[in-house]
Amino acid sequence: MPRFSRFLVLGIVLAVTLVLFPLIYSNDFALTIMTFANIFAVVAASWDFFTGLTGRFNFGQALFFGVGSYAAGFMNLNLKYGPMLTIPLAGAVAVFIGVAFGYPTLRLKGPYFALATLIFPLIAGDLTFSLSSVFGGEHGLYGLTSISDSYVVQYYGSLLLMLATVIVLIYLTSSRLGLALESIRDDEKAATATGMNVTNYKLMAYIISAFFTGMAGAYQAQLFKFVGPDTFSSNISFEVIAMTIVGGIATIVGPVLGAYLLVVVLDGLGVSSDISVLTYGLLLMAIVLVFPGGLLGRLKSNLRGMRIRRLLGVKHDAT
Amino acid sequence: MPPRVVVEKLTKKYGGLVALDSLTFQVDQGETVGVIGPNGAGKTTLFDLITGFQRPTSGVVIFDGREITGKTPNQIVQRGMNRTFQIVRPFKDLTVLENVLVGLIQGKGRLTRKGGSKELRDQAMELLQLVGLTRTPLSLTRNLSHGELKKLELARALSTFPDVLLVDEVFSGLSAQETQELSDALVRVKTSRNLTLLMVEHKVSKVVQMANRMLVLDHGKLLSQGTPQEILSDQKVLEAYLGKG
Repeated sequence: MPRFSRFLVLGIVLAVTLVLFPLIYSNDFALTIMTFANIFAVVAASWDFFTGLTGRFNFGQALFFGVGSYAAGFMNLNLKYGPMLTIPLAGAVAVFIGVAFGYPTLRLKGPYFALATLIFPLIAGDLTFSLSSVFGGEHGLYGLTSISDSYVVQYYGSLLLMLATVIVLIYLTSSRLGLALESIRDDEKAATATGMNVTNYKLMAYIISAFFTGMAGAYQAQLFKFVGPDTFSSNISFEVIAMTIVGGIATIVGPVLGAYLLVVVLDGLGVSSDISVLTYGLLLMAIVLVFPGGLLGRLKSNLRGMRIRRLLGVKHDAT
Repeated sequence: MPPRVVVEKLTKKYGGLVALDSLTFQVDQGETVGVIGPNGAGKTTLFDLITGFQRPTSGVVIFDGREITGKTPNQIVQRGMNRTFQIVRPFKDLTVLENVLVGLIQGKGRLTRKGGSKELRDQAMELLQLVGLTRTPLSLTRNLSHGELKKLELARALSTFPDVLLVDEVFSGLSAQETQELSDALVRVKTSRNLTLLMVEHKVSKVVQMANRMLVLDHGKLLSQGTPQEILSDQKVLEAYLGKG
């Protein structure tokens, strides 16, 4: 059986399991954990799309998460838009912010872009305090409308967002866009010498990443009926990096698996938080040691195969 | 026919150091021009300035009648000029095939917009064959030997459909046999693609064999130019290379 279809089979099995999950195990707590996992899976896969493919480290993915959350909260409270409208609009606002922060900084060489990304969420987080009449300062924005109070509906909503994100990102990764981004990762100078505008491609990847992460932030906002400054927290930025590295960088699906694993370990074990953090740390170390490319690191060659098939219409088996 | 490339008073200074000093020359369609000179003569700097990877301190580069000084490398590639790098720069985590696909899609050819998958496939295979890269196109690039990487470097530059190609020490680090293979490939490519070629080369014997005209640089200045025979009998050139006897 060619690898391409094995990839597809794996994806379908995973998706079907997740769709059937509430029917098998409809515990409210478990559903909430899984809803979080779906939201984080969106953020991690988006982070992977930018950093995994372009090789430019983004230490501030929380920027898009927070911006999406606050945009949704603001629109819901002030413009009375419902969640079905605020979620995609929040994605668009995150894109706008992505252009504003990314356009001047993505042309920076060396570690300077990575350093800049570290600061972005801090700036944005501070703004929620200095503009507290609009964003509520440390109290945040509360009293938001949610899609539903049903755990099952919230779970399915987040699953839909996650599956849509992953499908779009896999489609893009296996396209000529993904090829251009990976060539930039491998050698930016050589990529320029193929005639592409490297900065524009990086910006494109950055705002696609922003779009889905912004929607995830908005989804969490309606789920909690609340948005607080911790949506800009560095913890979010670092957790999605851990999820991606555990699952497999530049694989899109790997970060999803990483998100499930780490969210369940971190929030779901029901153990005291100290032990939970310890378990988390040990688990991370063990996985990285045993699977240096991540649990699903081999999917990289599947994505490559899919891309070559799509571009050329030939089968592929990299050696 | 007007010259393909005109370089006028091209100068590059790094602080107090003058890397290139008011260099002027031109290259006609179909020529193979060899650029030689001792280490530090400014050969690679010259290529960087022509292809936009560095900005000149002063002076002008004209390509097909239009000034390209200050244009970015990708803009210059789109106009039909490309280069190889002295130290190979492969996309090492991609397959050999993908290494040439990037340029076929992004370069002057823009193959996916009009060609579609069959043309893209044919062009990629033709390129790999043209440079004599016999390894399976689906190998990962990081597994290639130095000789193979040199061929891939050439293929990648050609994938953008250049009219003028600048090759920077393509033969460095190659065995006698690999050098022969690659120079055969260059001759093949030049004919089949109707290329104008500029080559920076340390192996003077190779340049003498391939070039119809040579430029000799020394300390950033044009020491001499002429046919290979003229250059080889030029006293100034011999002094620059061997010292005064």
